Amino acid sequence: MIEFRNVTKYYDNGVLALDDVSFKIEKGEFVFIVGATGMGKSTLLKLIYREELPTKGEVIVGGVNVARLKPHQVALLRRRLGVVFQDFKLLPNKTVYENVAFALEVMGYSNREIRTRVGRVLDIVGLLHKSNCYPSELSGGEQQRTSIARALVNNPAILIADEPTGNLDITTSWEIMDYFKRINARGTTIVMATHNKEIVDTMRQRVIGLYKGRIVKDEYKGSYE
Amino acid sequence: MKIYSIAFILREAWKGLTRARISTFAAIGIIAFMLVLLGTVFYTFNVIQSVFTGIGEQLEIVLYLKDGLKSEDREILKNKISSMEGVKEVIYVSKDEAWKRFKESFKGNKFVLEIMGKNPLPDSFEIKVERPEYIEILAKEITALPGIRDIDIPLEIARRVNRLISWIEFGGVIIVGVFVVVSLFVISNVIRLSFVSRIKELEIMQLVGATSFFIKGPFILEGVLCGFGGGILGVIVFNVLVFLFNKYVLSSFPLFSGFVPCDTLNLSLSLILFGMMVGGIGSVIFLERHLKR
Ligand SMILES: Nc1ncnc2c1ncn2[C@@H]1O[C@H](COP(=O)(O)OP(=O)(O)OP(=O)(O)O)[C@@H](O)[C@H]1O
Ligand SMILES: [Mg+2]
Repeated sequence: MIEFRNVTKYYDNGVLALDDVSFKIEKGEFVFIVGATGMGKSTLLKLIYREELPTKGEVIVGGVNVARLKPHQVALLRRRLGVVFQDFKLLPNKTVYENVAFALEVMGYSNREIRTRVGRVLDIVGLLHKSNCYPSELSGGEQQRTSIARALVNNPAILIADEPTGNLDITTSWEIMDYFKRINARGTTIVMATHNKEIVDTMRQRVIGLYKGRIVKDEYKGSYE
Repeated sequence: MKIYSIAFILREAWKGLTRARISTFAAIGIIAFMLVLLGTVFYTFNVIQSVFTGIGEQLEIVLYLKDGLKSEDREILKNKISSMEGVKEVIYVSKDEAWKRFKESFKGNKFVLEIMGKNPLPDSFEIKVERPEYIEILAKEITALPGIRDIDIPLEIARRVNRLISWIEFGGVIIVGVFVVVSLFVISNVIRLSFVSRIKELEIMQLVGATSFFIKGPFILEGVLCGFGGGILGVIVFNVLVFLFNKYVLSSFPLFSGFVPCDTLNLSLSLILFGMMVGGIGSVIFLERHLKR
């Protein structure tokens, strides 16, 4: 489903964020990306949804080299992915409801379909009562859950989550993780970057560890340390 | 394209316009201002040009006919001249008519009338031309015709008026051209400025999988609508100015008495269209600069 072949990423300012990274993630896997801050987790995820392009090597998603995609195809790729951004990336002038609905609107869904889907997913993340609030009126955790709802609303084949529990208390975090587990059981591939030791250790899924842009660990049923 | 997508674009454009009201109003105001300026410059040149063309139109060639020309021959001559290119009108003035006019203008001056004695004036044609530049060519052709005693051509004045008109036209094209370019620049920048606060929005739209149609659509429509709003406002102001100008300025100068105010309807429509076009172009320039792939 996702494959990195000797991927190296230098940013424009010369920072080496990923250094010769190779791995393969099959359909239906649940993978944690762990590592201290600044080790390259977000960079790795950005290469998957093609916000960044590799300096060297190839990133293959769903059988195609993402560097070769035309702009229109990039949009189509992103529609098959659900992305929870580390910095949420909510549209400031849209309400919670509109932010989530937006992802469906750009795909040309009917209004009725949008209403049912958005209502359902906001219920799942526990934000139905905040539907009409703007991002500036939300707590960090609520913004994060809006971002999660938007990523999930289209039932993506692959869910990419960059610290989706970073701003949530432990109870809410587990609610979200339970939901992730459920959609993973239904076949959704999940790649999640996290600092949350407890979650990684309890879930016992595949763990890829990064240190200074290199893969230093890749274990099935792994743990954080 | 699905109907939902069209509705989406319309809704997003409308939200964008009504949300940032201050910058929308600012953009519309500046667009209106530029269009009023453009319209005024264009109109001013039109007035000047018309005035001089009007002067040119009053110039006429006077053709004195030989005595005793038969009336059939006169008719043939008249038809020949009428069919020449550039001739607007040929008026026959009989010697009696000419004498009557003469006496009229020297009414009370017995001395002059006595010296003249019996009517010494010949039959004549007064030839009006469509544009003064025809005078020179026509004069040559007409002189060659038979049955003519003398011809009176305002050649020097015609030349001067011609030269003046071509300078005015030349200057008008240049200055209007400069104003078109300047307003293009100003308007597209105003549009761009009112959009810069939304660059992050563009990136987010891209990241959730919006195709460029969905991203660009609302922005371009917003730009076009801004241009339309500015166009309407500008055209209203412009027409009020033209009305006041015609009423208070034009009518108080006898020089302009012959001037028929040009039709501002077409000019107004062009200004609105121009506003919409430049609004759209401004949006496209903004998107080209800031939509990275
Ligand atoms: N856009 C960028 N331009 C330049 N350097 C960048 C950019 N984004 C990240 N970096 C650098 O690349 C390295 C890896 O960053 P990355 O965001 O992948 O780390 P991370 O593992 O996600 O960290 P965190 O846990 O804090 O989110 C860091 O040194 C960072 O400073
Ligand atoms: Mg990160």
